[in-house]
Amino acid sequence: MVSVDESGGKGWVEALVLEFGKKKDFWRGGEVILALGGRVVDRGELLRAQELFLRFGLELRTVLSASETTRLAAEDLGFATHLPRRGYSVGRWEVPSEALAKSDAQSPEPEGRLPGRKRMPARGASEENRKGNDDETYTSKPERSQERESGFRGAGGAFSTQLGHAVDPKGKRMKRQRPPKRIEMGGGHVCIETLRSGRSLRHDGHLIVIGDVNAGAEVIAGGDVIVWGKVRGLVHAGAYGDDSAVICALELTPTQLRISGKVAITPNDKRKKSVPEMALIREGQIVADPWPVRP
Amino acid sequence: MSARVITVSSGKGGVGKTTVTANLATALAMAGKKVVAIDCDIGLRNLDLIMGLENRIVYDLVDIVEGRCRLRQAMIRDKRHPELHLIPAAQTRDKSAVTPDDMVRVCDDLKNRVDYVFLDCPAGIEGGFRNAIEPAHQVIVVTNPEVSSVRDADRIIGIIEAKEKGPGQLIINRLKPDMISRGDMFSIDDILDILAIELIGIIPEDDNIVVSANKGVPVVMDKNESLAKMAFRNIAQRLDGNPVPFQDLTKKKNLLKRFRAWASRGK
Repeated sequence: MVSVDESGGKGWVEALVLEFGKKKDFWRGGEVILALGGRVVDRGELLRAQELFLRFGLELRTVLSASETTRLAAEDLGFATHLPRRGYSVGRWEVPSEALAKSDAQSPEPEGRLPGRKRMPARGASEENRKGNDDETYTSKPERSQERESGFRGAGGAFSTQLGHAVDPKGKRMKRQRPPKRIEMGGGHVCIETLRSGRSLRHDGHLIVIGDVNAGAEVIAGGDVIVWGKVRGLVHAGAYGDDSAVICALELTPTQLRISGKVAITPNDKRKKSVPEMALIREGQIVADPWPVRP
Repeated sequence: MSARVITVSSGKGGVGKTTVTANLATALAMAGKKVVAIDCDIGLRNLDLIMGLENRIVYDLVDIVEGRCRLRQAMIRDKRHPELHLIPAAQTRDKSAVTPDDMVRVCDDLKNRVDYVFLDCPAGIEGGFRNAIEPAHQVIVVTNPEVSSVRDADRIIGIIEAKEKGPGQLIINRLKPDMISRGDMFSIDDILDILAIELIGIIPEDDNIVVSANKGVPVVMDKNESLAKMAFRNIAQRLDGNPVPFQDLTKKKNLLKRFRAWASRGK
């Protein structure tokens, strides 16, 4: 979303060129919503702006304006003049190529698409089961105590850790690479709807759901997930291997929670509580903190 | 006169769609409305059994759709209630014999003849369900107070919302108040919390329903008063636009229980 204030003169398009020139590649592939306030803009200027955005690989879709003249001009050129009420996308997040290269080692799908639902835990589980068998020290005591404190526990221990171990075709474990640093998110997606059983919502960037996520529904995002409602289904944040991703919800009682390559399930005794919580990875485990975090 | 098309669905099988359809249709007919109940479960028809009209079937829904008979000929009139009709499903065909467009056409034809059209949906979310949903003005979702039927109801509500048939209205069937008070069953609040749609009726578990189904007499026609009969009559009233307060099922049971406890203490 690009806002242009009213104070500037005619040269606002040129000012945008300068501004966008600073981060040329960052913008590529997005959609633009141009907010012009009360400014009166004619067709020529809008066309110039569209051309400018195209130069940066951006598509001008929507023009928001308080001025009737501007709105008519925008409509004339085929732009939307208001935001869609439901499920609008605020820009699209392109995965930078270097992040993809890194996440190859992390996610089973090297193309950088969201990993398939079944493949990830299955692979991770079998990997960990094997590990659990020949390495008893694996579920060590400190981890256990961490589980108890956090209120979230790994699924039977076997699920609790590195799903991210990539397995090469011969079944040998490759050396685990460091997770990629937090990737710059160019945007997110807002979904104003209760997701009922059978629904699947996927987005490369951040996801905000205003409504519940019922059992049987799944939400998968490359970035963070915020649910303004109750989570009873499956939520996967940081699906490309972003360990710093978080999941926030007004009530967090999911069937399964995944962040990056880690999986957790809701402990049975937790179902009665209903406080907003934020789940994140701390010391290699998914933990849930009260949200907002009080000092 | 323009008929209101009400589809009764649940997703899961065995929760009581057919029983609910038969009883609501009968209750509205008893209140003087013109009602047609259509069985959409082609290949596994049941509604005719529950309504006790099995032996009078000559033509069925597929015959109408394929033009072998006129609509009027397939409508079986229930002799006990002159304004109650049934259009049975074909038993020897399957759901592919009817398309959603066919159902819309049949309901359009009925539009000017009756007040209410009830569609009894088959279980599942495939062809038969889609046939029954297409012409609906209103969808009633039936669920039982247990995990799997609530989950399936949630899926159904998602689909009907996507088809813009509204969020639907909920009937909770086979409720056992004593099990809820012991905490062994989903409570009404738990179900409403998950499904988040309007509740139009709660039907308690009642042995009379099984008995009346076997006899082919819907429980609302039963001479004896029962909780289930009262519940169905209330739902029919609510569908007809009269807000009737909900029965207090738990209280009644508790009183009974308290009386029993008191009686056994006296011994």
